[in-house]
Amino acid sequence: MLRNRQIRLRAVTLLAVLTVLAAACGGGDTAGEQPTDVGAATDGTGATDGGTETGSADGGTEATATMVFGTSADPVVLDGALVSDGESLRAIDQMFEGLVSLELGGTEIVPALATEWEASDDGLEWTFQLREGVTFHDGEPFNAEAVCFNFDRWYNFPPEFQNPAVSYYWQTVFGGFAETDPDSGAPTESLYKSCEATSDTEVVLRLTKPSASFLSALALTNFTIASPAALEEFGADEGEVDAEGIFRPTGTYGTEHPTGTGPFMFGEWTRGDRLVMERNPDYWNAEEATGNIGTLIFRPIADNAARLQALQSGEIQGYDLVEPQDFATIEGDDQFKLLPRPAFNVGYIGFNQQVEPMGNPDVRKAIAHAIDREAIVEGFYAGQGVVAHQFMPPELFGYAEDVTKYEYDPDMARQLLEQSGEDLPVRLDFAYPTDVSRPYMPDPQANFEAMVADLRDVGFEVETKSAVWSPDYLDNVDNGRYGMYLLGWTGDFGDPDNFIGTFFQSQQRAWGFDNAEIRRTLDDAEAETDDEARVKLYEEANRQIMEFLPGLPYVHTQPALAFTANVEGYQPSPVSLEPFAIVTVTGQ
Amino acid sequence: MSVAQAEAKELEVEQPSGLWSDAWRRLRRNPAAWAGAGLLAVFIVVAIAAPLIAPYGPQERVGDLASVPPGPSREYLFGLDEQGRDLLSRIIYGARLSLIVGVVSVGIGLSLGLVLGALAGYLGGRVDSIIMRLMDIMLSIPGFLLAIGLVTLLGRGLFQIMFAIGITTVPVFARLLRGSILAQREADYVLAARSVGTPGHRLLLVHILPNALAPVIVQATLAMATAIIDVAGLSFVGLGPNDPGLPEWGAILAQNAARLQNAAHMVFFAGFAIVFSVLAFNLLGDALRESIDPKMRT
Repeated sequence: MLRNRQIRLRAVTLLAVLTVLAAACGGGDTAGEQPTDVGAATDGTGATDGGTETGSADGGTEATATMVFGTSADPVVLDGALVSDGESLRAIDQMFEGLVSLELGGTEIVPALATEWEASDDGLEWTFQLREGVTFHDGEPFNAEAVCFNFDRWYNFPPEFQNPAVSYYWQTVFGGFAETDPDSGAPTESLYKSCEATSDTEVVLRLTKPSASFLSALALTNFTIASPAALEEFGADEGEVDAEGIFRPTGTYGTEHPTGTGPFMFGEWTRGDRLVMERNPDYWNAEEATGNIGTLIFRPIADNAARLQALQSGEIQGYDLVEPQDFATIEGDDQFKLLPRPAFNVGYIGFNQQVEPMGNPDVRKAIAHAIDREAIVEGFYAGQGVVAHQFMPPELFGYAEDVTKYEYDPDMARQLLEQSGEDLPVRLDFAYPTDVSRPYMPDPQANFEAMVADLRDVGFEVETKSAVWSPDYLDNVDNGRYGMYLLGWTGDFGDPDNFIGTFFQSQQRAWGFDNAEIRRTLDDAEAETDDEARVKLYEEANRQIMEFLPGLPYVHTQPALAFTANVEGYQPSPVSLEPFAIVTVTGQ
Repeated sequence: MSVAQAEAKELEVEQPSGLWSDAWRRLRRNPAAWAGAGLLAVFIVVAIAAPLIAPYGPQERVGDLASVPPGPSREYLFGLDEQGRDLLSRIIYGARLSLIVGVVSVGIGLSLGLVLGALAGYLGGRVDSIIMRLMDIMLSIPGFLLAIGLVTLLGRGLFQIMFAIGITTVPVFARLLRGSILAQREADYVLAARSVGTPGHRLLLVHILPNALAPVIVQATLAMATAIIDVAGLSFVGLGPNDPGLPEWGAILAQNAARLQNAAHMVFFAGFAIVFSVLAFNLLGDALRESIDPKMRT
């Protein structure tokens, strides 16, 4: 299923995410009536403990505050099916909901627009009971037909939408389309078979094969349900894809009329300046959306330092992706506060085994022993990072404690080099991206320089390379033009398949190897439906991967957000998407 | 002593007082020239003697890695950088790089510009038109933009960067020299030389060129300053030398601009180094112009 992952796309999606919003709301509802999952609801209220006296008990009715949030870029287009970048998803996440969602601040699946669900014994048929009394922002009713309309729309995307850069998440989760264009680069097989509205409130989704990660993937913001009437009226499927694989709509749906069921409704969008969203007065889950924000404004500010200054000057009340060196500045000021996200990412050095001498396991191990990951994480992550020993974060199931760890040991590295059979000094080709700050590498150049110094110290000869992040660097990585490169990954949903499955389950030019053993373990793990057996398989996969050492993971970080002190209730999520509907701004 | 002898002696005394000695005399009287030369001397000495002066190596890690490195202290006068390297040592070694970049890139621009300008000015006619239109086209692209384009095209090695910056100065030198040669070409001494049958190449190289060179020298000095700024600028927009470990001033500045709020020393000292080196060349260049330019003679 996860066949078509280009690093380039992956990069765009590094921030990519999930509907935590719906989690808050869905969770709240279940707390009221259903005996299923109440965890989300308690999390939601727990997050606001202390100083919530101003949070109104009855939700949206008193939502009058305005909040301006500093984002790093404009959304591409406000249509979840067509985006994979974090800033688009952040906005879409406020206005749309999917069938299921993630618990507030976690990765457990909770009800959203579906209240309960059931899989058939063979895992091929999923029946969802839908929430009643929900309407879209345009007044159209939410029902089983609307759900099927959306799924059928995605499955029947025309060839220009089948570019992996456009419908990346559909292809990652479901694979191909009804009529897959062979030139599009999309997978030919599809996990999706059909959608049937068996009643107004019951939907049956049929799959072509069982998948353990299907339900988790449904929580992706990309699979949120839009109003069929609006999709049709405003030409959601009209547009073209430019040379860089970016969808340019010619219809107005994704730019002026995005219509979902979420707690915020589209207001207006001036590119490069502001995206304004208004509180949805008819939101079905007002009870849980306890915040007081009536008008939510996303203001794009590309430069990190400029975002900090905007916060300090009062232009914005919060921003994402705080640089570690600014942590102390923000924490040291009573007017501001810093909210770390749970670590749900990994920063790593990728090795491309097609480039000499990366195919030599002794060289790879020498590199692993040469680099002082501890010093880098301590020095450059302001206490928000931990040293990574495998390609997925410790919070995730399937994390193996007993993988090969490669401690910092320059002597061992020199020794490995000598016995590697390569001519000394061994030459490496190592690249880093410029002009970019990612949660797992806030300052790529600092990491890179420290690593190069470590490598030179044990006798490697390093040829340094660099390129601007997008598109050059990502293209080069994707096409295997670097021997070693800095990269990383932020998880989209709480499944190891989203980490090591994404990296190693299929052969990729960026890694340049084909290890049948690892692939088989990952295939087995993805198809395994027994939870315990699945955990064991992923643990085994992690052990195999770290023994093989296709790359060197070095950090898991807690990226952080900054807010003014009068913002309460923001609940950071591991997948980097958080609802503003539960946020309260006081003193306005 | 006869009158004739006295006259002869007077002539002897007058004789060495040519263009250059005149210029030198005026230069010596100009305090700005002294200031510029002094700064420049410091700059050059530091650049050449970097290994002797710098307390540490440019790549030597003396402290811990830190995203907010410690500022100036008694032990490390300029503080440390984020890699735990002594910033003073890096700035000192950076002088070397800047000097090399200045000299090499201006050397490239100057030599190409001289050849083109001399050909255009001396041959005239169609050659002149073609060369000068070409120069006009190059001038129509802002120099820094041209450098960015060239570096993108050629790659980000140190030599490529120097070459790109050199190329951007070519049209300036070419135009300057051409104009200067045109002015000299019809001068009486040239006509005189021509009338006694001096061959063309000798006329150009021995007679015209030395006299036409004065404004070019001034321009070359000023171009050094521009070259240093351009390299810093290229580094600043992410097109600096490929190896980020090079102690290039502009790279140090660019890399740490985001740390201005919490580790200002890195930006501060690198910025100062750039300012003073550029100032040195500018002061000296201006003073040179004043002393050499015939129009400014009294």
